[in-house]
Amino acid sequence: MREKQNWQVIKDYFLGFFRDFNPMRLSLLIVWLYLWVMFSFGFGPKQNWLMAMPIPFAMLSGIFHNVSLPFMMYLVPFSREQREAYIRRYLYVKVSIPMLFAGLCDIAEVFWGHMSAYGLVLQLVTVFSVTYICGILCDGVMREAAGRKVYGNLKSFVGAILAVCQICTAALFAICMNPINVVEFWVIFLIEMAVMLPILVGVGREWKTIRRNFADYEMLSSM
Amino acid sequence: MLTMEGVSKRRNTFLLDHISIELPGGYIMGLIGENGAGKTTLLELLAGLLSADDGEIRLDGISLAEEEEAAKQEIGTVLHGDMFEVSDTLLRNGNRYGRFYRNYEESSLKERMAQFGLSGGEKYGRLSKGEKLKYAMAFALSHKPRLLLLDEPAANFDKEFREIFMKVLRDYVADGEHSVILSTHLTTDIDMLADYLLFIKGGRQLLYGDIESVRERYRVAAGEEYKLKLLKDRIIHMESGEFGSRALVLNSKKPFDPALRVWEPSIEELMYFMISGS
Repeated sequence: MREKQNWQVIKDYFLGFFRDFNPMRLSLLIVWLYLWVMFSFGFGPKQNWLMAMPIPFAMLSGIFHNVSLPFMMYLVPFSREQREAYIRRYLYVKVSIPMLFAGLCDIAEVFWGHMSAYGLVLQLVTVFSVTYICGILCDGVMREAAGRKVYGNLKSFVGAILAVCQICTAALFAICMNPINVVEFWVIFLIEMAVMLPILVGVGREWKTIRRNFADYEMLSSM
Repeated sequence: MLTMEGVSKRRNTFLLDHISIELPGGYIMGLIGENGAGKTTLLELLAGLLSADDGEIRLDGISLAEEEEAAKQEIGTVLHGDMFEVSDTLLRNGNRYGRFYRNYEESSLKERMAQFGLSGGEKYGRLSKGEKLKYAMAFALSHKPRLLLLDEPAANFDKEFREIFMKVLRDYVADGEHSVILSTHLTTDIDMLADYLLFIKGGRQLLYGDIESVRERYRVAAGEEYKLKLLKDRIIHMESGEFGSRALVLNSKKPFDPALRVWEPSIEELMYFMISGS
C-alpha cells in the first residue's frame, strides 16, 4: 500500500509540472529555456549541455511544485496527518528526482572528462540546497502578505531566503560550467556552506510547522 | 444518517451559530438563506474542509472530526470554482482522485459523464462553469457516497439539464440509503426536490424540519392591518401596503378571523418573510 502511495507521489510530481499552468509559470519556463540555450550553446553544444541541465531543472522543479496540495486533496478521504505525510513524501520526491537527474548528468560528464569530481560535488550540493529550500518555501500563497503565517517563524524571511537561494544558485551554475581546481573548490564550497547551511538548518527546523499548516485547508483559506 | 449537534464555527467576524440537524437516509435537504448567511461555511464543515469550533458532525455514527478518513469516504462534494486539475483530462482527473475512494469505479464515472454530455478526453480547464459543476457531480456520484453535498449547482444548468439533474437526485435517494444536501437560492428547486428544509440567516438556524411540518407551522394572513395586529405575538413579520397588509404568522389551533385570507406559505413566501423579519 505504502509502495503504491509512493509511486503515486512520483506520478503526481511529474503531473505537477503541468498543474495550474498559468502565464507566470509560462514566463518562468521561457526565462529558463533562454538561460539554458544561452549557457549551454554559449559554452559549446558538444561539451557542456548536459552539465548545464541539472541546476536549472532543480530550480524549475522547486518553482513548479507548490507546497500546498491541489484542492481535491483536501476533499478526498485523507486525515490531516495523511495530508501531512503526503506533503512530506512529496518533498522527498521533489529533492530526489532533481538529485538523481543531476547525478546521472554529472557522472556522464565526469566519465567523458568534461567535468571534475569537484564540479560534481558542487553541483549536487547546489541542487540539494535549491530543491530543499524551494521545495519547502515555494508556493503561490507566499505572495500574499497574510499567507505568510503558514510559514511559522520564517514568515518574514521567505522572500529574502528565496532571493539569496536564487542568487547563490545562479552563481554556482556559472562556476560549475568552468574547470575547478582543488583550492577553488574549497573556497567556493566553504562560501556556499557559510551562506546555505544556516538557511538549510533554519528551514529544516520550521519544516514540521510549515507542512502541518499546509495540510490544513482552513489555515490556507482563512488568509 | 447525518447528525449535526450544536455545530458552531467562527470565521473572522462571521459566526455560524449552533446548527443542529438530523437528516435521515433517503431524503433531500434544501439549504436556503441569503448571501453571506453561512451556507457555504456549513457545506465546507460537512465536507471536512473546515473543523467545527464547537459541536459535532456524525455520518452514520462516524465522527467527522475523529474519523475524518472514514467519514469522508461517504461524502461527495460539488462546489464552485476549479475543484480539479485544469490541465488534465476529465477521465485522468477522475482516476487521480478516485483512487482515494474505496467505492470509486471508472466505469461509473464514464457512465455519468456520458449521461451529462461530457467527454472523458476533454480538459477540465476548457469546460464552462456549468460543465465543471456537471463534472464535479459526475465524479461525486462515481464514488457512491452516502451523502452528497451540492453548493448551488442548478443556477448554472440549462433548462434541459435541470430536468436530468432533478431526476438524477431523485433516483439517487430513492433507495433510502443516500441523502443530499442542496444549497440553493432557487426556491423552485426546493419545492420540486426537497423533503427537508434548513433555513439560516446571519449564521443562525431559523428553520429546520421536513417541509410539510415546517409549512404547517406557519400561515400567511392577508387583510386589514388592524385585524392582523390582533394576532400580536403570533406575527413573525408583517408588511403593509396600499391595498392591505400581509403577515407571516405562527399557526395554532386558534382560528383566524374569517375576514382574513389565510393560506399555507410557499417556500418562497417563507424565505421572503423570514429574511425581511428581524
